[in-house]
Order: sequence, then C-alpha cells, then structure tokens
Amino acid sequence: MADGRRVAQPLTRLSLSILLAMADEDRHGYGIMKEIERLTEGELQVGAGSLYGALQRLTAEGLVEESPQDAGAGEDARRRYYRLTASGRAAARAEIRRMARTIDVACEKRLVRGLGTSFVLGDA
Amino acid sequence: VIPRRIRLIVAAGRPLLRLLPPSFRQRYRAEISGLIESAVSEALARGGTPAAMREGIRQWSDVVATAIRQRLCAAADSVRGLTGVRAGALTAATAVMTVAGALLLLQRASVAPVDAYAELVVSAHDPAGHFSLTLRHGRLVAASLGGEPLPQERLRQEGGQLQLIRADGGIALAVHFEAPGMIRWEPRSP
Repeated sequence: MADGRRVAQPLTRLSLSILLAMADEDRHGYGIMKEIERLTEGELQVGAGSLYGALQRLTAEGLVEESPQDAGAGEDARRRYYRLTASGRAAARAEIRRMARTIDVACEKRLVRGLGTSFVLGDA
Repeated sequence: VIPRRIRLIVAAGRPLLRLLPPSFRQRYRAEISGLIESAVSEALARGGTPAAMREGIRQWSDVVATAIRQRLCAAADSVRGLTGVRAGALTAATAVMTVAGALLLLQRASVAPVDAYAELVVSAHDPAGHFSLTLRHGRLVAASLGGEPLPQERLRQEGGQLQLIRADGGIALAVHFEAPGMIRWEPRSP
C-alpha cells in the first residue's frame, strides 16, 4: 500500500535528487550531498539538516533504507550508507514520467521545442 | 588529523544540535556532525578559512532551520488530531515556535511587536487547516488560507491587528501580534 500511495504522489525536488543520487550505488550522507551537487551542477546545495530530514522521511516512507555496507578503511566511522528500495526506484520512475509528460505538454503548447529527449522507463 | 580550525568551526555549532527533536537528534547527530566536518574540511582546502567559515555557517543555519521545520510539523500533526481547547493551545504553541524561529534568524534591533523583522513569515495550523502570513517591515504583504494565496484586497491591517477576509466580505481569520515572538488568534472551526 505504501508503494501505491507513494508512487501516486509527486516527489519534492530534494527527494527526487536524493533518490537519483543513490540510483547507481549505495552512498553515505556526504556522498549523497556531493552527488546532488554534481548532478545539478551546483544549483542545489543541500545542508546536513535538510539532507537527514529528507532521508528520515524517505526511510519512513519505505523509499530508502540503510545499507549493510560499513564505512571503509580510512573513512569516518560515523558514516552510514543508504540505498534505494524497490519502492524508491518505482517512485523515482513515476516522478520522471510526470516530468516527461510535463515536457510533452510544453512541446505541444510550443513553450519549448526540439529537446530531442527520448527514453524508455522500464524495470531495468 | 583534523585541523584545529575545522574542529573549532564544527564545535562552535554543535550546541545547535540540541534544537533538533530528541529522536531525530539521537538517530542522526553523529552523521550530521561528520558530514559538516567533511564539508568544512573540503571548503578549507578549496578556499581557506573564509570559505570554511561560510560553509560552517551555512551548514549550522540549515540545522537550525531543520529543527524549526521538524518541530512545527510535529506540532501541526498533533493539532490535526485534536479539537477545542487543546487544539487552541497547541495552535498557539505552533505559532509561537514559528515566530520564534523567524526571530532567531531575522531579528533586527527593534522590539516592536510587528515591525521588528525585515521579513517575518508565520506558518501555522488550526482545526480549519493551514494558513500563512508574510510581513515585510511590519506590513502584511501576502497571506494564504489552505495553501490558496489571497488577493491583496482581502488583506487588512491596523497596527498589530491583521485580518484575512473571505470572498463574501466576512472575516476568515483575525490575528493579533501581542509581542515579539507572540501571536494570538481564535482557532477556526474545521
């Protein structure tokens, strides 16, 4: 039920960015923060409080979970790793579909054109 | 080995962690401290002490903002499940915390009830739902009821008395600023 409800609700930009940051590998908080900065080319700079607030919410919603991976040798032992759950992937895909539909509408209304974006959203 | 400057910047803000709700603090304080330490270290390496200071201030400000947000959400959730006097009391508490947060972040030198802040945003709930008020230099410039922004002609103000007007001309909500950090209103019915 949690899946269905979550997939139906839009994600905030921060939540989607966190899910995207973890889409390819498990990351700790600082790693997530740096990856978001990289993905948004520095446009979205997340503070520690906001990041862990969002992680707490996403964990409670079942979209993210703590990974069993420990901090590596030489790494800060306080670090904990997080990973996407299957529901998290589904929620991220649903959000991207919404964005794609928005782009379609924008193209249809000639607000933008020639974006040349095409992709397939599957269960890869 | 962590440079002394980094330790000082991180240690200076650490008491702010106490503002976070206890359960959140218990679960994440070590990670938050670690992350801030890493971010400040990187800023130091990139831009020296000024950059490290800026990063430290940015990070600790975000911790304060998160503490306010989390406590407001918890208070709002409590109000939603209550009625009558208890709801009114919690409503007032919610608003006081919001205004206190704004005071912490935005206060200038003045002690006047309404015009003490360059910008003051009140975000609160009562049994009828959410409302927000935005004041700039003591003047009510925007408001919303249930997430719907109200047009300017439906905002009234006389000193510290603010009124949000319904489409039919009746008063939807009256808010009174009593002192810096304190507002009062009659909770609306659901």
